[in-house]
Amino acid sequence: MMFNLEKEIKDWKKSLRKNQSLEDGYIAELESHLRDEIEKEISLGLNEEEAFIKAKTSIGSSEKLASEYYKSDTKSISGKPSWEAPFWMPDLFFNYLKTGLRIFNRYKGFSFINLFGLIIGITSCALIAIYIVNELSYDKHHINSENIYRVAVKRSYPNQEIKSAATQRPFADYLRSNFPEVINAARVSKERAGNVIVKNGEKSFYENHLIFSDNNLFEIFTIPFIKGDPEAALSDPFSIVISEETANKYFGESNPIGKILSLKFKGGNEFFDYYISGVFENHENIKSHLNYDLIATYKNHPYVGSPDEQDNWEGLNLYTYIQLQSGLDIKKIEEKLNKKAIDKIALMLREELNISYEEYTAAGNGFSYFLQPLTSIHLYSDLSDELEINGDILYVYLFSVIAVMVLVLAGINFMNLSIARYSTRLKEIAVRKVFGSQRKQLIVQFLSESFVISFLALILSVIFVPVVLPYINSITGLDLSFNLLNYFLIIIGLSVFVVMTGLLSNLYPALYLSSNSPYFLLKGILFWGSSKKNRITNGMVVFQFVISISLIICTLVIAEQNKYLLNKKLGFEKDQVLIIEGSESVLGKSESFRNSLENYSDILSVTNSQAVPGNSIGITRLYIKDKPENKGSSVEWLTVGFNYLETFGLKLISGRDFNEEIGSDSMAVILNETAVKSLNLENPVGEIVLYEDRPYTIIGVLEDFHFSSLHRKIQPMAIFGPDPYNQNRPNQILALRIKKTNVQETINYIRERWGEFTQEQQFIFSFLDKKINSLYQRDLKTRNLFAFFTIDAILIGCVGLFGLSSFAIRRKTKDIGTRKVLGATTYQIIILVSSEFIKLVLTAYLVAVPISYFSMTLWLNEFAYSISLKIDLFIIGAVISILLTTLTVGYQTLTTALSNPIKALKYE
Amino acid sequence: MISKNLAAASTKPLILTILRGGENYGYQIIQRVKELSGGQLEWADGMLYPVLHKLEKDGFVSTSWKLSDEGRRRKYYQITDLGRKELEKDMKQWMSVHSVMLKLWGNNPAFES
Repeated sequence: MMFNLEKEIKDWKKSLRKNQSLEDGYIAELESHLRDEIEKEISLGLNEEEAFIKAKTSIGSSEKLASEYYKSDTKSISGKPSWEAPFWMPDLFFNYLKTGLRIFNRYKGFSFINLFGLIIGITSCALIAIYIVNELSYDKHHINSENIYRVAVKRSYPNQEIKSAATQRPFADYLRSNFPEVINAARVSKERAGNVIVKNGEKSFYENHLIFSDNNLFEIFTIPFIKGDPEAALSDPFSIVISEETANKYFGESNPIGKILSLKFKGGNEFFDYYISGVFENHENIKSHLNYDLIATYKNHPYVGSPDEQDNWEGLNLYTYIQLQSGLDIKKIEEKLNKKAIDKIALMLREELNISYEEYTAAGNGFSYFLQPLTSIHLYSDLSDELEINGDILYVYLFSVIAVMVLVLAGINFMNLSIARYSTRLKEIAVRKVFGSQRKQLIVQFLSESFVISFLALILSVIFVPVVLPYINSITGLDLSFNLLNYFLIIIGLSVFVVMTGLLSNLYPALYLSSNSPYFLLKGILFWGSSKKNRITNGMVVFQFVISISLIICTLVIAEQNKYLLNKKLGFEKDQVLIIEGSESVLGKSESFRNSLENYSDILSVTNSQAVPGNSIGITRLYIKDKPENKGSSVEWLTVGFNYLETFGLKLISGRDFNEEIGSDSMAVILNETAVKSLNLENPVGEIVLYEDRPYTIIGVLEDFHFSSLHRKIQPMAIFGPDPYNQNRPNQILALRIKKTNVQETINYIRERWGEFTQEQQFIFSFLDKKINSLYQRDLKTRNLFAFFTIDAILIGCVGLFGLSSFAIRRKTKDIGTRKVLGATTYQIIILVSSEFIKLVLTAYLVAVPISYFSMTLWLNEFAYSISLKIDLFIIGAVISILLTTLTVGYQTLTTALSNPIKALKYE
Repeated sequence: MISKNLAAASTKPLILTILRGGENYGYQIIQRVKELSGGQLEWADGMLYPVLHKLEKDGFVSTSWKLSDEGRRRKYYQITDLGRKELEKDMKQWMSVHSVMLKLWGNNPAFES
């Protein structure tokens, strides 16, 4: 293209005009200078273009010029032009802020709706983030945590597999001395809550976090000592290390070292003195799957301290933690471990089952060790004998997804509302343009308006979160702790989100509106008239409702499944059953205690047993006598006293219950249906099964019942009678069925009788139904959390819909007015306006149904027993969604429909 | 090259002195400064104009728009009486500074030693 000098000069002048201190006179003078210079350069032999560029450069930058002119005009001392912000601030920052606040003030309703939605979104997201950070922080506080593993056991049986977190007592020593890769190994035995009373003089407490261990524990784990020497703290028999808090509890301010704490174990009646050899720091804010307030020497444990017990390979009694050299291949270590430890496994099997390892594996069984990284125990481990109910990585993922969804919902809301609001501000934008606003300035102005709202929301949420956290904890049953440092990081993350939302939600309208000519904007013929933009907004609304409706349906399904879990017929009567543990010493002493209970009128029946529904029980293998072709079956088993069936309301299909009058019942067994099936017996009653080579006659068959939680399928089960052979495994749990009336008096009566027979053993009781319900604690937590976030999502969705519909209705005011004048009824108007939104919600519903169906099918698969996804839940979901939409849109629709058409038509 | 500060300080007497020799317009003034200083004194050309504007505001110069032979509009600057007085004041100050420097340096300016 040819160089056009005049055009270039014109453009140059235009660029000068952008600076507000350059007045026309100045520019004219500068132009004449430019022309003189060009002329001179041309006379010196340059062409027009070169001359223009040279002249332009010699005059210098327009910004500098403008600022110099300003200085010569102003009286201010710094001489800084008012439009030039400090270097660290974007141009016109305060002006934008001011406008932002003014807009906020002018559109109060809109702004609050927007603010509200954002606050909910950010707050929930922060809460989820706290939850996730909490879950991920388990067991990370140990210096060696990367190299610490827990050894666990996998036992396979022909028809099932059981993984246990517990190992044998001598295993830690064995590992330390036989594997050079194992730097250190420690064993941890934890007493169950309520098992041990700790006493110092008058002060005595049940300690729920008492563990027994060895000195090695302090080398593996990071447990900072305040007093005492960690290397020798547990060397002496009967020494104990306690936390600072525990020390304060028992000894106040005085130095506890060398003092005595007395421990009494459940079932025992003797106090054992432990002297305090160390105090360690409290572990507040530290999350661990292993919690301890007191650590005592395991080596000389009063009950299992004998060399025989300590070297007992039979039972899986305690937890073994090892520290490995770093950088090892764990799979290889496990292989090596299992190969080398076969003789020890064999030892265990011989003692337990009296068969050789070869016989054991030949029958389709298996026994192997595996290693669990310490830091993954909380989220990934769900073995039997876990120390606590662990978390689940699935929920971490699930809630991460929900957090992102809630944020997206809030972001979409923000965007939709902003777009809607701009449609009422076209004139303002036009006027700004006419007065010389540049496109860039308009964009920055829009963005700063949205930043005003989003940052306000951020600040309010940041204040809000610590306030609501305790409530969330109590609603959901979670134990989220508030850590300022973590929270700070979360806030930084959220700020990034807020900036993104502010930017993204307004960038599109800002770019679009600022690009249009003021003429079109003033005429209002642009933008909102076109259906294309509506399609985008509608798409967003549909997307929001897909999320909300999916969550609604999921919550309904989860609630339904929980109801099912808690109310399903379990095959036994869980109500009105009182459980008293640790009763063997009382029952063993005399029959009269039992008789005194049986004779009390409000006690319907009394039994004792090794286990009650909800307990975990052992597995053994039964064979049929004289039928070598029958391979037998592995069964879960327990021993019970008389009246067990009656007390728990178990139903016999055939045969009879144990009978005190029949002496041979000590060698009798009752099976459940599943056991009969897996043993392939057609006429089970009267058959004889072999249990540990001893013959037991089947006297009855029970209808299947859910001994363990509904997460597990019903297993084959054998119930042995009161057998002298099993005396070393006493039936220590007392269970009583009592009348519904006078419950408190009944309990008092039992307590009194109990006190007559034993002083040492505490009377601790629980109700079976509570015990059963506690099996579903985690499921209930999930339901509560889900419900919480569903309400969240619904709120955000409704808030957005409310704002959007109010703008939509305002656009339609004239339309509605005209229709009313022409004779439309209120009813017709309501249908007209709401139908638009109902259509959107129904579209969303159609998308949400398969999504929620799929994810809930997946979730229900986690349960062995679950509801089937019936259509009614989906219908309820639809009804709720439509109801919510109607309610949200309804009020405004109604007021518009009822209003005087004249007003509507006058509306401008 | 003369330092920025010194150049800025000398601009006012420089311009006023040039205008004392008769009215002139911006472009010519800049050319004169360039000629006289042999290129030692140079600003971005445009920067002269805010200075002229300031002189006008202070009343040291008066201005009038004229049409040149080529038909170009030019803003001419004339020195006022106030301007002459200001220039005299400036000259005295510059000369006293000059004489101090001269005494200090003698005829043997620092850069020769």
